[in-house]
Amino acid sequence: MTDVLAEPIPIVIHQAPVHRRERWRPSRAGRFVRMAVLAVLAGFVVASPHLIGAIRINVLSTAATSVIVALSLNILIGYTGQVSLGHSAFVGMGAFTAGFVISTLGMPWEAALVAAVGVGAAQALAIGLVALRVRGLYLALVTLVYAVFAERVLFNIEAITGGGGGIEATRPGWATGDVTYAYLCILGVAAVWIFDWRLTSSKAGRAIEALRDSERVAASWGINVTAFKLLAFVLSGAIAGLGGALFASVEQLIAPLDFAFLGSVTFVMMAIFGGVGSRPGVVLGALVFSFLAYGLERLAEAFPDQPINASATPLVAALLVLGVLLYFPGGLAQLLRPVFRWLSFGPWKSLPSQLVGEEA
Amino acid sequence: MGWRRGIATGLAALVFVVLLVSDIPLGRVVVDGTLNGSVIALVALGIAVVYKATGVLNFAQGELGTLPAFVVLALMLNFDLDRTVDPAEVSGLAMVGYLLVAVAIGIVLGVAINALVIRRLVDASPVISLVATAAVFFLMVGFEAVVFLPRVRTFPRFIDGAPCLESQGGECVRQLTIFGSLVLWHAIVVVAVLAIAVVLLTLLFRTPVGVALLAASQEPFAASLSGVSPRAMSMLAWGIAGGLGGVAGVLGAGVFQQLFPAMVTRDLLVLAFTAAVLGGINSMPGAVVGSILLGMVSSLTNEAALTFDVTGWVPNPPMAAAFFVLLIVMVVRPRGLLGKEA
Amino acid sequence: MSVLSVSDVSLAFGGLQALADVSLDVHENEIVGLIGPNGAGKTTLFNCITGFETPDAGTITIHGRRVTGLRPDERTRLGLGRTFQHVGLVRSFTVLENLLVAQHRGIRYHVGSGLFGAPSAFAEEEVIEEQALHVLDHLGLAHLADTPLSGLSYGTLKQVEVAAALATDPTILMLDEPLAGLGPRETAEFGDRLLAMRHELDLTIVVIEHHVPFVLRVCDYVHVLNFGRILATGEPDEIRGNPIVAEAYLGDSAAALA
Repeated sequence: MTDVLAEPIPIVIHQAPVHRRERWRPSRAGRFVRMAVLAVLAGFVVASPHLIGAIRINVLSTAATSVIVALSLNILIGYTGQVSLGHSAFVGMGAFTAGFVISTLGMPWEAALVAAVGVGAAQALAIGLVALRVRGLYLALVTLVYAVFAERVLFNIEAITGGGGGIEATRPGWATGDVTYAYLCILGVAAVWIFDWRLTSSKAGRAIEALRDSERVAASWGINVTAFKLLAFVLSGAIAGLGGALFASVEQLIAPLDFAFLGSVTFVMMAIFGGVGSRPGVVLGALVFSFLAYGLERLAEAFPDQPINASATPLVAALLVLGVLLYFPGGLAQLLRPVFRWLSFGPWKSLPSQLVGEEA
Repeated sequence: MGWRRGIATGLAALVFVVLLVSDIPLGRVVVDGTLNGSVIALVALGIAVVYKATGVLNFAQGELGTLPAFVVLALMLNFDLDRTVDPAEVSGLAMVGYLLVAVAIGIVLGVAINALVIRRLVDASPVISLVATAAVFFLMVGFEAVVFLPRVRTFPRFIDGAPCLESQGGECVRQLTIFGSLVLWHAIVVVAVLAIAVVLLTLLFRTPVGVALLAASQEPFAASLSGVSPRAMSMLAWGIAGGLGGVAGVLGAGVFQQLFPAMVTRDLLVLAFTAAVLGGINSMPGAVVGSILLGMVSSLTNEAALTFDVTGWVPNPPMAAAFFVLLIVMVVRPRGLLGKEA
Repeated sequence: MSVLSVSDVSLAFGGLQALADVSLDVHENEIVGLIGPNGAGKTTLFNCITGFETPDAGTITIHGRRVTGLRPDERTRLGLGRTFQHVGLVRSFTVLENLLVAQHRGIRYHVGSGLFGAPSAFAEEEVIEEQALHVLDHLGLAHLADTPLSGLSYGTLKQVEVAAALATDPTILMLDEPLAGLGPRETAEFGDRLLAMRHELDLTIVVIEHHVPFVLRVCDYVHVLNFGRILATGEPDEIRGNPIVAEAYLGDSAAALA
């Protein structure tokens, strides 16, 4: 065996760092245009309760709560790669907790919100301690059965949830109007978005996302795998509880049928369609699904002679999801990646790899 | 780890003892349980076959039952969907024919789903495949709702009523009961069909094709080296699951004597999943055993609820019991009773 | 003072004896090599030391502390850093993001502070980004900081993995075939870096490698493993001429030639 290392090679690492990190930044004009577009989008969101009209304003509020639930599911599916088929139960628990606190305990709405978040976190902790110990699909199964259990047993316990008839959950005194309440729900979405952003920019979020690709590697970097999986699950449950509490006061009356276990499947499909792992993707996915029935209705009105109307909603939704799974695994986020990248002050086209060569 | 098992086993033992010393008619529980569990077993078997052969959890297994049942219903109504079926018009012999039609449709659906969706996702994670089957589920339910409308429709049984042991003057005075539990003709049919299915499957797994299927499920790479095509094997598995689904749909609709969109999923699928986990999700005998056991747990819970008079404040005791059984299995023995370590 | 001590460790998988009575000691600032044919048990030994496998018998001590029963992340917190035989990185992150995660154990702010945006968290985030770039500089990778992993060559990925292991601020660095995918010049550079790092960063290093010349040049001691047993231990010169080692790698005929 020839000794390749017979000649001494000069030690290189004591030199001053030769290459510093180069970050792409948009030009002044580019920054200005992006900010203008973002301002228009923000304006649209702010104006939406007025744009949608008085008849359907509650559809908007409900859509906002669905967005919150989808974001909560994104933490689980997008960041840790685990799937929960039981979020309808988490949402329902949040809703019924809010109803219970408001109607039975007579406490103010704000307390109900806090209680809903707490209950959401607690039940996720309990389920997670059991289900996260086993691999893969078992979490999906346990959460699915939990969702059915919640729908048929928990939510029918009369003392707590008013049984089949349902329970009331009146809005807070300062947001009794439909428009004001819609703004409250939109504010909820913003709050969850910001919290999720904080999550992904901090050590907890990075640790959680590292789990998705390889738990071994994460463990070798000092991350307590079980603890962070559980954290992701608890955060997911807490945020879903928040969504539930907000949902409860949209129509101000909730019944067990509102939280059928099949709703869990719908939430998962929303997140997958939007593109798990992408905040804007998931939000868009949830919005599309929430307004799908409305959209099909308008389509039927505009073109009365063709057969598609609102009752075809599950069919269309299913086709959208299957399309994503088979052809665009990254969902809307994959389709709109240039747009999202541009809006976050990045380049429109992805940087060609020749620009970042590997030669030092 | 050990203390969790201790607590769960202790709880289970406590429940068992309490029930033993109370006045619950255990014989009736066993009989009722077996009869109820048999319907679940037909669905659970379908789930186990697909999971064992392809590693995919099939959320659409219920609709592989509901949809063929709807087609059969349409046939019974001569495609006049506004009418209602009169059970008296449908003879037992005709039902056999309809059952075979349902099996055929189920097989076609199963193979189609596999070819169009599942095989394309063969490299994806099991979770993605599960979500895909959920999307297929929604597709099928959507179709059912659009074509057949969200109405609850009557569905006939093979034979109504129970076997008559003694009749007087044209009226039946004594019907067949075992341990005090009335045994309906339909229940006998279900158990018989389940037995036939189990026998057929067992025979299948003795043939070269069946052995290849088992081999491919355990060691796909080695099997492919021996010339076994994974695609063919998954088609076979999904075809079997579809056939079982068709059977489950027609018989299940007969149990409830009604049919509506997503019925089998709503009323049987989740119990079937629980039963499959209980018995061992990669074990076919486990699916059957788990279902019968779960059926008994259901009857037991119903009887216990009556005896201890809790129906006032615990709604749907069998569902509650099923959930707790699942939790106990997850904690004590996740692989299930007959399952093998994954 | 032995920083890493393996005593009579044995591990069997079913009928296969993966490790049998393996013992070795590593002292402070040593660079120790672990060589042997494929399947000898080198990675299995690493897995036992780092907590991914539990030995059937024997004890492992890190900095004087018995680590039986400790999870891998707990052992990392004792100062153990490792790389994997097949690249162990978070595929969906960029190079820099990988190094940010790898610094997890060193981050002082609490999870809650991070989630709710406490100023201390923001400040510390800036610090760890600087530190990450610093580590990348050490390995000449700083210009790749924002590159996603998917575009990089295998050899570069292995180097990023070493950087990530360094980012965990270890006292004992365990490298599993770090040279895979590197050419001769890069191999030589990496050898120099290791030799410098041991004193600059106060490291003890254990390396699994197939590149025998590299091991013989860089390591203070070499352990030869085969069929789960330590065949020979000694300084590189002793191992170089050892007929048992040649036989293990190349078979009987080669031993005759050595």
